[in-house]
Amino acid sequence: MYIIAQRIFQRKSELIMFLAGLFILLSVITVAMTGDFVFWKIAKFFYMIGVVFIIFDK
Amino acid sequence: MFGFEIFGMELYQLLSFGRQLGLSVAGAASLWAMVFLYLAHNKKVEDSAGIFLTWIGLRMRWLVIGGGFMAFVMWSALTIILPVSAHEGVTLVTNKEGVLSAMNLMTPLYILIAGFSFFALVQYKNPYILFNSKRGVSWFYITTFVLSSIAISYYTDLRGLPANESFFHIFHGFHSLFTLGTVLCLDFMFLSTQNAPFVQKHIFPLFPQISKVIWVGLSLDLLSTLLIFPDAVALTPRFYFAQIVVGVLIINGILLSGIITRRILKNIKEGHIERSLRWERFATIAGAISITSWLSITFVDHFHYMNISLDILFGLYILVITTIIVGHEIWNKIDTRAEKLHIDM
Repeated sequence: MYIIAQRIFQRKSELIMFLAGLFILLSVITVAMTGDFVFWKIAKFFYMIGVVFIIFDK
Repeated sequence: MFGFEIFGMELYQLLSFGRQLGLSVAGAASLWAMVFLYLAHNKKVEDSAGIFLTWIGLRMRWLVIGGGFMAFVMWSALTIILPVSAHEGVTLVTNKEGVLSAMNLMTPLYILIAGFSFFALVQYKNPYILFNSKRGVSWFYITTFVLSSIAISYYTDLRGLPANESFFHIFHGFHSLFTLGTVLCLDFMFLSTQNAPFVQKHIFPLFPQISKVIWVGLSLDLLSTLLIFPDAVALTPRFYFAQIVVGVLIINGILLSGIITRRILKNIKEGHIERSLRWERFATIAGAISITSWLSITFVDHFHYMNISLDILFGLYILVITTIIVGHEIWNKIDTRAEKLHIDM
């Protein structure tokens, strides 16, 4: 799993952004089922961190 | 006659979407043309990159002209046609009034955008009049960028609104210039240089930097929603659709700008044409998902009372993506010039 992830995502920013996308999709399920926005907020947090990494990517 | 409403979508919302699309394209094209012309100016005389950057920079005026006229036509329809029509609900009245009031307030801006677009159209044979070649600065692009930025940010009347709501609207409007508009500019650059690998060589390396701006643009929107959370959240099919599409957009975007682009460039460099074409197919799919997603979320964003089920929304979303991919494949089969150039490359 780790090796596959390493082959797909060569930068930290890519992995963080990918997780942000997954959390948004996960949040859709949790919001629909429980009305809880916790994953939605986590996704935004990951996205913002990802953007900072992307800005400084060479 | 003008009381058009279908699936909870009203005419003024449709016009507002068209206005947003036009301004985002005009603004983004101005921004990137400005950047290209500036970069070209700072290249050494013997560096051919300067010629290609100037070429693409000047070519982007067509996007500014098209986007500017589109925004002006939609604005005209909003201000001229709509006040005549009657409206239904109390909430709708407020929304509609807000949009129309903002349009009236922004009248000079839209007239100027149309005026500059018209000027560039008339001067289409002499594009160098649009920028100062001594400093590499384009008065035309700076002006259209500033005008588009203000017009796109002020899409509803902000007077009397709380600060958080005002900031939300400004970010929410402006981000389209960095996201939807820039994505369309990237497509334009890609299509403009599709048959010219020697130009691609100079333009493509800039794409990762341009992608950064798209990511920053989306962050403006994601941040802005936090300003109005949780009051503005309504758990409708429109909300779920937009959230799923944003999730798809992020995953798709990171794969497109990451592994897919890397593999294409690597295979081209190593001369693996077959492998390169296979990864270009992935790029086509990812590109179709990207453009459809940006258009979809901007579209649904304008229709607050849309009552289309999630199944139908996704059906349409997938249909558009499939159509773009099939259309692109058919085009590639018909247009053999691109393949020849690819092999020559």
